[in-house]
Amino acid sequence: MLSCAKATEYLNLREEKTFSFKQNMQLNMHLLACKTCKAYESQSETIKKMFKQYHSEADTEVKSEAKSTNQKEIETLKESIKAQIEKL
Amino acid sequence: MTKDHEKKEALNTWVDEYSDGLLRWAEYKLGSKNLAEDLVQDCFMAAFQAYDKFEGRSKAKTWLFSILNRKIADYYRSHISDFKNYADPHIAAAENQTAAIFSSDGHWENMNPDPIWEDEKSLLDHPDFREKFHACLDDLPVLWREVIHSKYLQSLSGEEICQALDISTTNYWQITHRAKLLLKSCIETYWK
Repeated sequence: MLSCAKATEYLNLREEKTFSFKQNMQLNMHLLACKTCKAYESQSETIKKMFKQYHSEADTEVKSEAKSTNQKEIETLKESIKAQIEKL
Repeated sequence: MTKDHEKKEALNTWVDEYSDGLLRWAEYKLGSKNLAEDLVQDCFMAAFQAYDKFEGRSKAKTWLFSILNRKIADYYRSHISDFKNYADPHIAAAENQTAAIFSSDGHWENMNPDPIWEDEKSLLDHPDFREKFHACLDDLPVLWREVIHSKYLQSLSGEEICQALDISTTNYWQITHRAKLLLKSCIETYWK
């Protein structure tokens, strides 16, 4: 039987391609018996959703800031990149 | 091989079309306008060099963003190696913190799941969600934060992250695992 420390490690490993069938069986056995790890399984999913939400909020922030970005600065940057490309 | 003038023409169109978005993304990720401008320039130079590999299999926009993300990861990597060289004391502290979540025989120190998680919606819809989550991310050692950022925010694969940050696969697993455990503890503390 896996320890909880190991089982939570496996929960993380399960996201990787290298997670084996045997490891999966061991993990499932543990999750059937352990409510704390079972809870941690869904807590990790919530944490992932938090990342997604954090990201999408960041996106909106970036978009709304777009209006305030100095158009002239961007044009200058574009010109300087094009000049560099020309030299390549 | 595509002729140079054709490449330049294509690149110029992309510069007009995507500079804006790339710059804003880089600025958001790096928190510095000057640095962001440098990396966007590097990104287009790299796109020119690698143009023949592009082959239009993905959208130009996606391709350019992936190059930019690599440049950003490279930038972080060069900074993170400073931390790794003198064994960031923050990492040791964070490792102790995660170790303390389990007893020596591998059981949870606290076997009762925190009820705070039962209502996922109230966690996600919390009016201070952004601020709180940001604080929890800030609590992580720089390297851990960058790893977990790359995994969940940029959706990079394990191999890409190990390569970009120059860490082993085992190290990568440990970091993602421990970072999640620390985030869990942090959330249980801050969301109350």
